[in-house]
Amino acid sequence: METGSTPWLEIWKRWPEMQADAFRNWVKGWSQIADWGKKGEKVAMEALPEDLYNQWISYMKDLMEKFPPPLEGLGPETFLKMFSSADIYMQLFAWWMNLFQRFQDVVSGEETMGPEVYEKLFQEWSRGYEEIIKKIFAVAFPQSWQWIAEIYSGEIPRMEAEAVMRFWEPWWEFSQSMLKRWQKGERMTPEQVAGISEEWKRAYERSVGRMLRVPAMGYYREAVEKFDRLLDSLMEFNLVVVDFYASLGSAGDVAIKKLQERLAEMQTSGEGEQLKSFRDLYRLWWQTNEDVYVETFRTEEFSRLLGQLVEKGMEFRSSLQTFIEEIAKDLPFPNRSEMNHLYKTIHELKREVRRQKKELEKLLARQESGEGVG
Amino acid sequence: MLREFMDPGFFIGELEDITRKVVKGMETLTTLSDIDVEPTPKELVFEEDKMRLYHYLPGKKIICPVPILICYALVNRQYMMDLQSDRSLIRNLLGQGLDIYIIDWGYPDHGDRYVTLEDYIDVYLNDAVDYVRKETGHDRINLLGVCQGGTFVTIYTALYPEKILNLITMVAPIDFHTTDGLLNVWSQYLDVDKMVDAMGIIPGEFLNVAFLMLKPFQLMVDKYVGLMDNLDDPATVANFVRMEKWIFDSPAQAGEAYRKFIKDLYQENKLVKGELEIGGRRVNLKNITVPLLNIYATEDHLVPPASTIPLNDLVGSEDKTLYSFPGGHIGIYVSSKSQKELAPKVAEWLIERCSAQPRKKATPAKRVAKRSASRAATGTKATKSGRA
Repeated sequence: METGSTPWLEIWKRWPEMQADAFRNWVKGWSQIADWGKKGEKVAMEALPEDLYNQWISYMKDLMEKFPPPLEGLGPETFLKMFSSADIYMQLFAWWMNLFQRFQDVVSGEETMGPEVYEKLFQEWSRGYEEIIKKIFAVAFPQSWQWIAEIYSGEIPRMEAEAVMRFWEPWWEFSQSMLKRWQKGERMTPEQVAGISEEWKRAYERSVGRMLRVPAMGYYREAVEKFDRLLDSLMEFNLVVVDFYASLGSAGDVAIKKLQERLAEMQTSGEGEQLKSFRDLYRLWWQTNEDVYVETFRTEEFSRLLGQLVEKGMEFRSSLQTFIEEIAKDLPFPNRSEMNHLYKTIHELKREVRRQKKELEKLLARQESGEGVG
Repeated sequence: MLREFMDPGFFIGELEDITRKVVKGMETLTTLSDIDVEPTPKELVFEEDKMRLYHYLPGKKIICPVPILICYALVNRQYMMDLQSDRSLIRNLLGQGLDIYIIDWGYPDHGDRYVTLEDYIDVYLNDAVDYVRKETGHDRINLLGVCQGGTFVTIYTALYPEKILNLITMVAPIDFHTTDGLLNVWSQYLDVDKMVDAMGIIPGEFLNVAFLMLKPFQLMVDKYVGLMDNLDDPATVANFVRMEKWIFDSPAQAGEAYRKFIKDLYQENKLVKGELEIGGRRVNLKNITVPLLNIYATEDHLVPPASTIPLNDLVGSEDKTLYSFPGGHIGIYVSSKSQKELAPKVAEWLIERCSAQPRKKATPAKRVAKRSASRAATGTKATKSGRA
C-alpha cells in the first residue's frame, strides 16, 4: 500500500480534469432533458432519474478509480460495492416506477386494464424482482448458497403473483360487470339484483370461498376450520337471502303494474268496480298483491328457492353451533351436543322402562288369572 | 269516480273517521285487561311426560254415554276449540250431551327432540285412549281428531281398530300430494333432515312464518287494518286478541316426530300409498271399518279439501259421511256458523251411533264426584288449565 504525499500530489494534478469531467456530465444530462422538452417528447418517468443517476455513478466510479487506495479496505473496491448497492436501489426504483406508470396509464385511460394486462404486469414484475433479488444475494451469499437467491427471486414471487391474480381476477370481472351495468344506467329490478348476486356468488366461489375451504393446520386448526366454515356458510346463506328477497321484490313489481293497469282501466272505462273511498283503494291494493304473491309462491322456482333458503339457513345454524361449542368447550357448563347426548340416553331409557313396565303388567295379569308365567 | 276519488277533499271525512277510531282504540287497548281463554271447566285426569289428558265437567244431561276423546294437532294449542264462552265448540258439544276428554300435547322443549311419531301415537295417544276406556268402562270409545290430530287418529284407528267405536276427523290432511295447498308444494323442497339436525326441535315461530306466508297481505296487513274499524268496541278487540294469542301461542315440534311426519307423509305420501309404518307396523287404512265422519272446510288454505276428502275412499268403513263446511280452517271452530251448524251436526251423528255401546261403569258425573273425593282424601287440587 502506498503511503505518503505522492497520491495526493497526483490528485491535485488531475483535479482540474476531474472538475471538467463533472461539468461535462452535468451539461450532457441537462441538454438531454432540454432536447426532450424541445421535441415535445414524453419523458419516461423511470428513464430520466435513472439515466442521470447512472451517468453520475459511472462518472464517480471513473473518478474513484483514479484514486489510489489511501488506507486498507477503503478505495475503489469499497466504492464499487457501494455503487453496486446504489445500482440495486436504482433498479428497484425503476421497477416500481414502471409499475406505477402502468397504473397511471390505466387511470388516465391510455391503457385498458384487465386480468390479462395485470397478469402480464405481474409477470414483468416477477422477472424484474428476480433480477434485483439475485443481485442482493449475489453480494451477500457465497457462491454455494446462490440457489437461495434463485428460489426466492424467481419461483416464489412468481407463484405468489399468480396466486394473487387467481384471487383477484374474479373480483375484477365482477367489478367490470357492475361498471357496465352502471354505465348502461340499468334500473335495478329484483331480477337484476338476483343476477348481481349470482355474479357475486361466482366471484366468491372462485376466490374467498376457495380460501375458506382450504384445510387449516397447526395448533388452532380445529377452531380456525370451524370459523372458516361458519363464514362460508354465512356467505352462502346471505346469497340465497338476496335471491329470496329479489323474488319477493319481483312479485311486488308485478303487483304494482297490475294495480296501475286496473286503476287505469277504471279511469278510462268508468265501468265495473269503482273506488268510492280510500279504503276501496287499499282493498284493491292488498288483494292485488295477495293474488300475485300467492301465484309466485306456488311456482316451482319459488318453492325451490324457499327450500334453499331453509337449507342454507340450517347449514349456517349448524356451523354456528359447532363453532360456539368449539370456543366454549372449556367453559364450566354442558353444550348443546352434550345435552343432546343426554336427552337421547334418557329417551331410550324411558322407552325401555315403559316396555318393561308393560311386560310386567302382562305377567302380573297372567299370574292373577292363574295362567302360567314360565 | 276515480277522478273524484283523487280529489283530496274526497276522503277527508274518511280520514277523520279513522282518526277518531284510532284514538278511541288507544283507550280500549290501554284499558283491556289480560284476556282469558279455555273458559270451560275441566279436570286433569292423566299425564305422561308432557302430554296431559283433561276431562270436561259434563253438562246436565249425557245423551251419548260413550266418551269422546279429542286429539288436537301438535301445531298450536287445543284451546282453539274452547276459545271463549260464546265461541266454543267444546261447550257446544257438551251442551249437546257428549262426555268429552281432550289431549293437551304441551310445549316440547329440547329434551323432547327424540320424541317420535311412534311415541305420540303408540304411547301417548294409546295410553290416553286406554285411560279413558278404563275409567269409563267402555272398551271402545269415540275418537275425534283435528287437523294433524285427524291424521293421528286415522293412523291410530287403523292400528287399534278394536278400541274405537266411531271416528271423526276435522280438516285432517290425508292425501299430502295435492298441489292445492302451498304447504304441500313447499314441503317437497324442504330438507327436513338438515332442519331437525340443526335445530333439534322446530320452533313454533318457524312454522308461523310459513303459515303467514300462505296469505301474506291478509294475515300480516289487512287483519290489523280491519281491527281499526272495531277498535272502539272492547268486546271485539278482546276477541281479536284471544285469536291473536292462539295464533302465536305455538309450541315447538319434537324433532324426530316432525322429521317422520314431513318425510313419510308430506314428501312421500305413505299413508295414502299404504306404506306408512309406525313402530314396525304397517298402517292399512282399510283396517278402519268403524263409522267415519270426515269434515272438511271448503275454503281451507292450510289443509285443502283435496287433501281431506280422499279418506272416505281409503277406509274400509261402510258407514262413512263426508261433511262439507263452508268456511276456512279456523272458521270451522270459531265462526258463528260453526256453533250453529257444525257442533249440532257432530253431536247428532255421534248420538245416532252411540246407542250400541252398553254402559258398564259410573256415569260421567259420578266419575267427577269420585275424583273429587279422591282428591279430598289426598289433599290435591283439581287442575283447570292446560298450561304447565
